[in-house]
Amino acid sequence: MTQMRTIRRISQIAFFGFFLFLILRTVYPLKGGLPVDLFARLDPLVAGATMLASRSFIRPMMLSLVIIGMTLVLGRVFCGWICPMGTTLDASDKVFFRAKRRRNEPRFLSFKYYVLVALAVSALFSMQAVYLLDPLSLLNRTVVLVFVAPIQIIPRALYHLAYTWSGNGLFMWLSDHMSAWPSVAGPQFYFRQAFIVMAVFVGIVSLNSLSRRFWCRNLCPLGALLGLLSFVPVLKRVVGDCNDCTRCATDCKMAAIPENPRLTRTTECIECFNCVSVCNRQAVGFRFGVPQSAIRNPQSAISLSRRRLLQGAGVGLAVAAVAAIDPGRKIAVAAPVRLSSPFLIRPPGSVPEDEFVDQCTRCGACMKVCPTNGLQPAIHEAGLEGFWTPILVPRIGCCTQECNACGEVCPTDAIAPFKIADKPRIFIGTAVIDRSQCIAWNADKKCLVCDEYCSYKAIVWKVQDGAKRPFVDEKVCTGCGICETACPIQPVAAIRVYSLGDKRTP
Amino acid sequence: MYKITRREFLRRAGIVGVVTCVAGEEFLGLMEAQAAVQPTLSVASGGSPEILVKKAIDGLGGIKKFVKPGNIIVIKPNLAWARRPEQAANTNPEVISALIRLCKQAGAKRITVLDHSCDSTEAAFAVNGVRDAVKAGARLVAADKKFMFRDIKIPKGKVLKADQCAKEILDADVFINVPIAKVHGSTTITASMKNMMGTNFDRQAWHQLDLEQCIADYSTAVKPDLIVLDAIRILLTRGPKGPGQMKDVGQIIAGTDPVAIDAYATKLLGKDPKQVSHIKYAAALGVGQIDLKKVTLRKA
Repeated sequence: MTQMRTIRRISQIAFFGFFLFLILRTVYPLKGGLPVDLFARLDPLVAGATMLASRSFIRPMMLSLVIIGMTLVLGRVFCGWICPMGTTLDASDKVFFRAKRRRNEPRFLSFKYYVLVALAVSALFSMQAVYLLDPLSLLNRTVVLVFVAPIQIIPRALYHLAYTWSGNGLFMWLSDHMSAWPSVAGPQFYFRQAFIVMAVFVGIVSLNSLSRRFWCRNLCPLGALLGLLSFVPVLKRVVGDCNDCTRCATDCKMAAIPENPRLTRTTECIECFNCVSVCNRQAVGFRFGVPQSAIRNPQSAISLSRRRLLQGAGVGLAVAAVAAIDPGRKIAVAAPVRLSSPFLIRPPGSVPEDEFVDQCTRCGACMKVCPTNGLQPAIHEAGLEGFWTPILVPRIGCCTQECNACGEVCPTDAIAPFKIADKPRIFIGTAVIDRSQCIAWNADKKCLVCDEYCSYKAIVWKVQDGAKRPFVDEKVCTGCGICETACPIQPVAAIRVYSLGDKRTP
Repeated sequence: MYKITRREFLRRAGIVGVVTCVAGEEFLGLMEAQAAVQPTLSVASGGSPEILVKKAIDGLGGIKKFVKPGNIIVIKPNLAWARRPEQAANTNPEVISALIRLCKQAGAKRITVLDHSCDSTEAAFAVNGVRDAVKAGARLVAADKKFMFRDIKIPKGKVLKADQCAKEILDADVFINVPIAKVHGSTTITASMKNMMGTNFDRQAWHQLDLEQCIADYSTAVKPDLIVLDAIRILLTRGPKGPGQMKDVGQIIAGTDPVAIDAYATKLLGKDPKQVSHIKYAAALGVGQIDLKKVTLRKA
């Protein structure tokens, strides 16, 4: 039984490694076999919130039933053995906060349930805010925007060195192999809002200075949801010959052991087996038994104040209400364009806008996989409700014709899968030429780059005032943005993609 | 007996020597000028890409004339676009692999296939077939990073006086340009000289100066040792990226004169070489022969 702690640690490291592996595998061209959005699809909080807010059934998220089933039987083992955020916090404990003496009181354990209620009520009123606090979306987003992109700088610098010295056979071999790595061969990825995402992550990790797994105990809404499902687990902590030394209670990462150390707060216990290892009488164990309500003893329960629950609901309601009056939600009268921005360009295959902002968890998978780095987190372009959802920024990167990777990696099908062959019929916007900036219009130059690069032949030429001038054929233009990416006029291109003409699915 | 003093002998021998050298120089110069003014194009038709490439190069004297054992070769095809091989926007990958095999047979030490794509490298290389083509025995380099280029001077350039060229091409023993014949929205046609844009890093600048003059200027400074023009399937409309009307001509043309190659390509595409600005400018700068009547066409 005491080896279980070791096995648990191995499991945490393995799943964390697997989590990183899947992110690194989220790259164009996608290799088949393993779905890279596996972790996101296992998340029952995301499943519930996105389906509730968008009022739609999302089949890929049904995988979360596995975690629900597991939690009903085993309790919060997901938190203790699998969750990469939990592993990150445990690891940062060892690295940063080892020496710090921290309190271990169960003061704020109930807070995460209020957070859960707020998020649930908000989703009920169609404002999905789970993306901000769901640990898997948050961590995925952080790794993609804050860790992978900057760390890319290192292999690219090494490649530069190896290539420059490739007169030497070893360096040539090295540079040739490195050039096959997407992080080296592809563009250096740049992401907006990365600083804020980093600040949120650093903030969460810093909370561990107050107590171990502060986030997991007090804030995590997924933990709260799994806690509710762990009310009467089949796997139970049992204590034999106890002498009330309370070493297990002091050592418990989740403050799940109350004053009477023979009892357990089943909604908080993550089955980490620390208490088993720490007891010097080997009195603690875990056993399968008939599920019984552990709440016969008030010490085993979390007290949830009705007032606080209503307050949480109130907060959720308020958030949804304020979001509803954001002008970004308003559609212009004469044309189906959001008032939030004329440059709200969604990835191809995206569901209609109202569902999109409710289904998207801002996990960052589509941004990671887009080969041109064109998908970026929206700041204001999609309004308040669309904060950090993916939009195409053609000046950074276009939507390549021979690619459907974003639809393949989206866990909630906010970007639904689509076929590459259908690309010419998926309209995400329309290119518009600014004749005051275009040198073929205002300076009689023979530019024509937009036509050269256009994959769909949407640029047509007519002679006007003695020279060939470019025109956009709106019936053909899909809004892919390659013209805007290639246009030599800087910093703002003379041809830009607007959201008019957005008909997202074929 | 004809008597001659040593001094007189040396004087006369010296005169004969000098006259021979000068006259010989003139004669050789005439021969070269003749070759430049009368270049040879080897046109192969009928057969698979593998056979066509070999026949075309054999018409110039065989691959051994260009590739010596131990040579470092750089092959520069047109890999600019994320288009599939059958769409005739990039060089046919079978032509590339045929050329790689020929170079290997001639004893090349290292063969590199290089280009600076217009579409993103990942997208282009994923669909245009080059990754399979280089399995014949070459390393694949996407010259899409600034540090892979070196400054060059273009003294004969009219608007382009200096620019950059891929280091691997400048350092190679043999540089083989392998374009595909297509029409082009900006430059009427694209063949050998336009394909050279892929050896350059900052192409945007050319559009803002004078694209066609820049193409001609660049070709005075960077010259391929051998040009193999892919005219197996050519793009007749909506070039350079298409999709457009295509034609299965089934030819490979080998040569060393970029202007002659481009002129021949222009004819295949149904246009007049003298109407194509960059070919006209290049001929004026002495890059090669624009008049196909003055070109020896060797058919195979």
